[in-house]
Amino acid sequence: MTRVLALKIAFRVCFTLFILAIIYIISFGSVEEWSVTRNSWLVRSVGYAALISFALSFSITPLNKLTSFFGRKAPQAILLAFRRAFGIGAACFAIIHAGFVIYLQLESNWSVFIHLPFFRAGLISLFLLLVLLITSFPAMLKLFRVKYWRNLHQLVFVIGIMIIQHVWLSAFVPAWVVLAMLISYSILVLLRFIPKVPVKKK
Amino acid sequence: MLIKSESKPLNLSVVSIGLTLICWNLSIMVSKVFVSLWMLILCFLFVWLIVNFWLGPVLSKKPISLKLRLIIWFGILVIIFGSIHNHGNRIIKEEGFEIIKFRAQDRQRLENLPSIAPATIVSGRRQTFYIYSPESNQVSWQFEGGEILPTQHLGMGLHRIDYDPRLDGAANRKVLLHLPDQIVERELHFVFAKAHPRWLVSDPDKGIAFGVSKETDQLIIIDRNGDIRVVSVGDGPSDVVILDDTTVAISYLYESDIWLYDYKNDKLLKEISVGGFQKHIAKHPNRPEVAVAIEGIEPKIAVINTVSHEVTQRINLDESPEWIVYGPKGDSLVFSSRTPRALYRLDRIEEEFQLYQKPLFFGRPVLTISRKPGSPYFYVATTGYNPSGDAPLGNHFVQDQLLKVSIEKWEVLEQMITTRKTQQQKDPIEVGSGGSPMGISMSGSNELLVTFAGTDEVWAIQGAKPPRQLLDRKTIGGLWAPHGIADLGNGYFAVTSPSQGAIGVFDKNRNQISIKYLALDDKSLEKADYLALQIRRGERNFFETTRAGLSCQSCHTDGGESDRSAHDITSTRYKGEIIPYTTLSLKGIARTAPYLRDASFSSVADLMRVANSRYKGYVRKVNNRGQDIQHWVESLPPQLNPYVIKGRNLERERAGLKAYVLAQCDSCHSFPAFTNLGQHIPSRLFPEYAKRRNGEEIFDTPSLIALSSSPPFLQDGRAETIHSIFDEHNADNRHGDTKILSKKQLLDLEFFLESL
Repeated sequence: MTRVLALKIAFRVCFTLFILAIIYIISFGSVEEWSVTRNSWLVRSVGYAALISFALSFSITPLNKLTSFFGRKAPQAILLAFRRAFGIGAACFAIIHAGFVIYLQLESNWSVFIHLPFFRAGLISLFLLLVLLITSFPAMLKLFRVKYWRNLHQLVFVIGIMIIQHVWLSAFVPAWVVLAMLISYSILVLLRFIPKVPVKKK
Repeated sequence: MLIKSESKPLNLSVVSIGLTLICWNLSIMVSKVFVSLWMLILCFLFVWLIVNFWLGPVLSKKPISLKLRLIIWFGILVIIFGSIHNHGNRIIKEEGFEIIKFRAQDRQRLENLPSIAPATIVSGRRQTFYIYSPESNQVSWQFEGGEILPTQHLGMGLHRIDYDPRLDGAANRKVLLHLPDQIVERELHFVFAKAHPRWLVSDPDKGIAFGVSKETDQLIIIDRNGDIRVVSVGDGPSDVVILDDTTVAISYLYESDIWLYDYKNDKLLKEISVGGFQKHIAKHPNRPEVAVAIEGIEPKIAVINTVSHEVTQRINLDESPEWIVYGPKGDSLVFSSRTPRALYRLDRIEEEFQLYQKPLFFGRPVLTISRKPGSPYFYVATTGYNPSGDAPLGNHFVQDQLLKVSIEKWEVLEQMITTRKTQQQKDPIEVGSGGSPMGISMSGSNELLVTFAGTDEVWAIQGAKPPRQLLDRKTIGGLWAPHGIADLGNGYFAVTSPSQGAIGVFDKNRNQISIKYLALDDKSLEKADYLALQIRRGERNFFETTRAGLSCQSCHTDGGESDRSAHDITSTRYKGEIIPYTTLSLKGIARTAPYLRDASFSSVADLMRVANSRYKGYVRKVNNRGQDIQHWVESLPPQLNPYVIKGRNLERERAGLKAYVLAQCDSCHSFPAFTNLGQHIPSRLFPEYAKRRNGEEIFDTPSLIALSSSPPFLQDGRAETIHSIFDEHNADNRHGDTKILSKKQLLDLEFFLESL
């Protein structure tokens, strides 16, 4: 499969999922009569969507390494295309999540971003996701004369930690979810240290 | 593995990490504000720009030897470990990682269904537990090796048991929950109750004094010769007064009756029904009459004839009475209340007591009162005095003092600030003596004997003369954090130490002639029950005054309760006006991290950093002070709900629970602890209030268990009653969807909250 085709497939699949997720979230949210529950649903569900997208994007590289470790060759082009698409999806969901928080809950209370670690972590994650989003397109890399984008994209590790911090400090997430996140993150980071085993051609 | 010694360009990621940390450490040298994750990330982005546009192209073309690479890697490792060592702890605190750890543990306990709240069980005490088992309509409770007890299903998977050790058997730390299809084991924080002798009453002429221990249901009889005797009485004795040569009257928290008790023959003479939650009792100076202050759902004062055993008058009150004393001729009664923080006078008019209109406002609650029958005046101890009644709002304002109050003139005659400087002070503003006056006794010679729980002292004060220190930390003989004091006549006096569970008798030369431990002493306790020793040390530490003159108990008065007063602890102002916080009760807070209204502390022990910095630490050096205080605080069960004594109204509670769920209160005040331990921004719940707070704070969701025992409510105490939480302070309908509730449902909800 060519890289361009893989990118097209990944974009279409992720865009469809993105639209479906937004429709689902808004349609279910609008059923809620009490504004607090409605706003809370909108904010949290979009946040979860961003989290899932990020997790999918973050897990592709280690899974790729794992498959190669067991002597299987993964379809590189499609995996890398999906990694990028999910990453872009995570940034888009994060933007909407932040928009909902600011519009529905903050009431111009901007100083929370300075004083409260929960909001600070969210804001930093969003900022870093935006940096990665901008540098995810070849045209942008050219425009900004970015040569070492791989180094910059190592910020995903920081984003992962900031997201866990953000989720863990939130009011409603059950302890087991956060624990699962922490364990998954640790495993995914460790899997990156698996040495690459060249796949023998048959 | 072989390392090839060929020359290679440096790995740019490694270079970036090293330069980022150097950049970050340099920024920290400029200002400590930059010890933060966001600055670290900014440094990384800055370094990446340098690498991308300048350093990267240069370094990638320049191979360097393995030796040099190893030196650079080693240098970077040193910087990494150095940065973690120097700034790791601060980052952990600043970014809330510490709170994350403790809250996760406590949340996990509550989310592991079926779960139980509160987490503490104290032996020999009535307590209420909530069990949340959403899948079961029937849950039974069994202490390991004990009987199987049914629980009440309130609905929605919430069950309740009002456990009474006298009827239901002894408690222990292991609980088996019998569900329809399985038996689940859960652990509670089990605390063995120890005797706590507190305040004393005495008859100096006869050389005898009495006290009670509500924790162990005991009456304590103290003789001038140093004989100290203990007898078992009813459930939760709260106070005692001497009626005549052989009889005392005992009031109770958890009994509906007062007891007339023959202490010579150890015989219960009469039980007189007045209602539960009796706080203190006073004896008429001349007549066979006592008055009992009764807190609870229907606060009142009951006047009882001790000869005819009749309740001659019940005076219903709006305020909860606490301390009570008779006026000089018995024609007036004075009682103190915590909400509002004031003294009230009742005058006897045609044999009926009526409320004298003008209360004496204090600003802070009355901690204790001297009770000499027939005296035209009395003394009160308090932590601050503001005649307007408003809480003194200086930053961390605590000013331990004694006030002399004239009953007839109905005014404060004298004010005596007790906290004093000592030669041990290390700073010009420090104090080291006269902290936390806890017991006051007026001797026969009108000398005032005062115990100081904060500084382990006993003073004698005669008129306007400078106070005489009768006992200090060296001579008090192990009676740490003394509370009660009684004049035994002929210069003899008795002192109690609740934390040690001990009573000491001293002669006129201040020599301790006897000491009685109602519980094991420290050495024995260390071997038998180390946790109990930690709890004991924690209790003493809790009362101990810091060098700044305040202690934990300055606000959490009455053994960890709330002083129901507003305090300025953050210096937050809105349009020049201080935004205060009201004190929370510490009872029942075990395993509900994080702590304080703004969730700023991950553990109780963590609060020691405030004591050691802002409050300048303690004169006495001890190890593990914070941990011990935490052990003590965690040993406190929540206040028993008055409905346990009065009788539950299950039908109404179930209706209230339905309204509670309908208004979605349970989304934050989740079962069974009635908190999900979550934090919220004010604008999400109270937009108007949020504007005043400038977005600088966060709300910790408080538990609603024993809610009715700690008014006023909401963060700054702006709701005086449960009703006003919804009626006046939920205009935006965000603090629960109460607008969908009918009037009846709202009343049921309020009743349910009151009954928790």
